[in-house]
Amino acid sequence: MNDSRILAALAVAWGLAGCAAVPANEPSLYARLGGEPVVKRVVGETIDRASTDPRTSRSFKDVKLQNVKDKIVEQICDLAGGGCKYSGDPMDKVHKGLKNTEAEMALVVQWLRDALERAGVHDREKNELLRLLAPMKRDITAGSK
Amino acid sequence: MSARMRSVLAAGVLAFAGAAGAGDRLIVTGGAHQVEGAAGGGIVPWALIAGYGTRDQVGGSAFFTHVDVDDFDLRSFGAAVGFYDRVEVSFAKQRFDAGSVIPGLLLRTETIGVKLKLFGDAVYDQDSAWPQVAIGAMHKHNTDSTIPKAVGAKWGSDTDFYVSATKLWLAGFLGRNVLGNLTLRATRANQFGLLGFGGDKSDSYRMQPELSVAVMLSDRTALGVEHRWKPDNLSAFKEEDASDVFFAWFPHRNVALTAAYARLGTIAGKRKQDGAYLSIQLTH
Repeated sequence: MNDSRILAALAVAWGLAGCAAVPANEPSLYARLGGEPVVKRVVGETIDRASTDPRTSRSFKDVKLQNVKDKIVEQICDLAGGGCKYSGDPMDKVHKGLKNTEAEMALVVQWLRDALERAGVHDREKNELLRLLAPMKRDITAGSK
Repeated sequence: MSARMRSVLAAGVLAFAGAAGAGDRLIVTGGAHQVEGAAGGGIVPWALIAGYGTRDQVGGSAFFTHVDVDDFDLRSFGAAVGFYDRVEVSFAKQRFDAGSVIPGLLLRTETIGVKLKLFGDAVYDQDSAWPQVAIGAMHKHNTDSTIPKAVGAKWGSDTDFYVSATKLWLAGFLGRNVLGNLTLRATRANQFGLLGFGGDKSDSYRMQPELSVAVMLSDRTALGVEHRWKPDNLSAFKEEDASDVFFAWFPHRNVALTAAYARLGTIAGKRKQDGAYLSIQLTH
């Protein structure tokens, strides 16, 4: 077996993975998620859980929950090609001073996954949405470093 | 390393793995235990740190693996502790039943592993092509090196060094999450170290690649393949690559079951050693 050829092929595959071409006529991720009704429901359930579970609720004291939900829906609409423009503060500013831990972040991610599943969102759309949101971890948990 | 030091380390790893508080990283992100005890796939160590501990937590995991190929039987069990999603310490014992070569022959090996995550986040860095990268060492010791040395091995204990790069591509293939891992290992182990280290044919460290690719069929199941190149140090016994096709299932956040079909090639003169690999793991 030609070891170096296999390694070269792997390196190319690594570079290409995740860059699979998206057909131009495919509906936006936001539309495939189910648009505003589904995203509103998913975000609502996730924030309701996060703001009441004792492991994460501390970060939601003294904030207007409906405002948080609206801004997140708007942000997802923006990121997922739904045609909105996110009007909230950047993620680092929003989470400043909260010292959010990786553990808190992972719990909320799990609740978001659960809510997406309950809403009937398919794996592909769920994973694509998480791919867009995942890099926010750096800003969200920066305060606990 | 002295026998006393090894047993103290082993007891420490086991105690820590059991006593560590529950970690909160996402399900599956602690990986499985590969056969030498490190967090990884079935036969390849990955850059992930064992257990579910975040950078503020200590997590741990324990495993039992049984590999049953045509003429041999390998049992491996052990535990690992992940400190602050940065450092992993593992301990494992392997028992290799080679009764088909010499009736009653059991070869036992102990492996102490340490792994250090250097940089990257395999799961969350989705806006970057960079993988999570870790370096590691595995110190292996044959309980009785008489037989390995009789067939040409130079040493009864030795240390492997490796670097691993692991990345998860969310929605990477047909909407499924895909995990890729490349490990480069400097080793002179014969059959994972079960037949000692170094040999009459070669006694120098060789750099060997190891690959894993897995597709997550759901957030709890993965189907993957692995291939591990190995040195060929003994003139008496030709050694070949090892590979496997695995299916891992996390029925619960803290429990994982892995079933695989392993192809271990020629071992101790017995050709085409294929068979079943079964592993159970507890992670917290």
